[in-house]
Amino acid sequence: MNLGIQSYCTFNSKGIFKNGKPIILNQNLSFNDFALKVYKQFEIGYSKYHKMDNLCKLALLTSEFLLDNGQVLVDTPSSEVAIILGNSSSSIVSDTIHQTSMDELPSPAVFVYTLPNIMIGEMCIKYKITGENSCFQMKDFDTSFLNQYVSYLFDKEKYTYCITGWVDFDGEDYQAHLFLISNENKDTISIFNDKIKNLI
Amino acid sequence: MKIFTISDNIISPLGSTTEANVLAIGNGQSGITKINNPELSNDFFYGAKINYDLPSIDEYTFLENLLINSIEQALSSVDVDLNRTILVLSSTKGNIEQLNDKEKGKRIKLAEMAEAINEYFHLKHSPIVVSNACISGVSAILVARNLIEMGAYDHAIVSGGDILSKFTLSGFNSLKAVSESPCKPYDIRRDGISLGEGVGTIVISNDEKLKGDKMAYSEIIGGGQSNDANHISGPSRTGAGLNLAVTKSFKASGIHANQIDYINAHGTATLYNDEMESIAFDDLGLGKAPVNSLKGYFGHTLGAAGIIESILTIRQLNANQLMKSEGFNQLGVSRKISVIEKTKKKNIDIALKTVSGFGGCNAAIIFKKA
Repeated sequence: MNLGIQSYCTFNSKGIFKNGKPIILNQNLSFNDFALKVYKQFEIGYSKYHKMDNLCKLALLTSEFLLDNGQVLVDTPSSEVAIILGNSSSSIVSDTIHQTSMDELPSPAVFVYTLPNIMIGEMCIKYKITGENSCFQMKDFDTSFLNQYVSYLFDKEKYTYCITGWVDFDGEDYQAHLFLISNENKDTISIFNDKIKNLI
Repeated sequence: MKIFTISDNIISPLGSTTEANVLAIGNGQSGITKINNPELSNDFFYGAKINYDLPSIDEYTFLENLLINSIEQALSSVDVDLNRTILVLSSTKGNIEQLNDKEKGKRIKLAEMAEAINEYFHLKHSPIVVSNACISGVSAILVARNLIEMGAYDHAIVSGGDILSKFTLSGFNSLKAVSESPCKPYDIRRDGISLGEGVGTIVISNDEKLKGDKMAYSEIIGGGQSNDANHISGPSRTGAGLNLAVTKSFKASGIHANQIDYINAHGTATLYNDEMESIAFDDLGLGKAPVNSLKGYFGHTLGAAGIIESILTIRQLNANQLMKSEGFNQLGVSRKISVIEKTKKKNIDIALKTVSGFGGCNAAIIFKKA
């Protein structure tokens, strides 16, 4: 099987970059301010976005650019797409908010975000993805493990696409690197077997 | 390549060995009790808490000590080459109670906790940690199986655990999801979950000669995972996601619904989860297969649930004995499913274990007598 990276997208404190080229640069805005600016400027128009925590907002906005607002997946059956992500800080952003409120009045709207795989759930809802979805906790972005695991999934379960990469929000720093892996080599930017890390 | 379960351990309120847990269930005991503990909640609640001492080492947290005890026991009956063994951990909240600590909490990150356990056992390869909400345990077994199939390792220690914490209890209370009595899966009077704490460990291998305890032995013949793509905290109304995971597991194993002798379901005892499962099982043609939920014995142990319940699925398979679905009296789901009302003998060759969780994820795994 010829796996290729069809597109890739990075979102960090410097801005958002797709396939290595800047989409929008961040001039020292906080994540909240910058994310809202991006949401408005690119007319994301997705009401569920506003109830998400920062980890999910980061994952969703990065996915929006990776997938051209979901257009890329429109012709693919929902069960033929998988999402396999790595993350280090789990859901610490929402964990900390829940922790400080749990003695008084904990909010169910916060509590439901205290799991790292919720960001994958939000991506699945937005893009109607029903294939395998897993969230691996790693100290650092372990590209060789993800490469190996995703290649195996394509081989075994015959996926058409897999979204893989890293989305982490530790309270101050944040990083998202998402890759759309395809089993067709059309529009391939690079062979998946090349170290993903070279692209970051 | 054939992959086998070769050894296991459960540490729960019912006991610190798998045998003790099986025996307690056989005697009709449940680990769920009325708990008055201001450190967990200002009001009393029903939950399953471990209230006996186990060997512990000071530098490790309560959960880490549970995991170490469990893995030590599971490894004691098998001789696996640790150089060819990977540790796969599953947990939802890990050492979350450390977030409370005024000083910097110990190993709040799951990857750090896994590394500490890995170092304790002098394992050479970096551990893998799966955190897929309530399906984490079954996910971890499937990931471990995949890693062995890929040829990266010959054996895997799959261990999962979560503790009963104020963090999760207050959260599920805020969702109004906690039952006012011990949980009653599939029953007409069910009103929510009971939380539990526990750890389960299962050792899997590509070498069938490594069989430890014959009651822990089975072949993992297939599995599947899916997402509802519907809601982050509510189960799908149609059961389509669970249906897809089970269908994938059938396809991977090359079996049909009529070959399933027993289903160990998720059965959290929330209104919507149990209803969703009944729709999925009925649609799959599994309405006549005997089904139980073990949550009435352990409560919902989150990251441990999929592992503890898989171990007991295999134990029932090898004993040809089905366990009563604790807390069940009268069917309270819209579709006809065959909930096990009392412990009984039945020849079981193939068993299905399912789980569903927050984030809309579902997983299914199939064990065959070997």
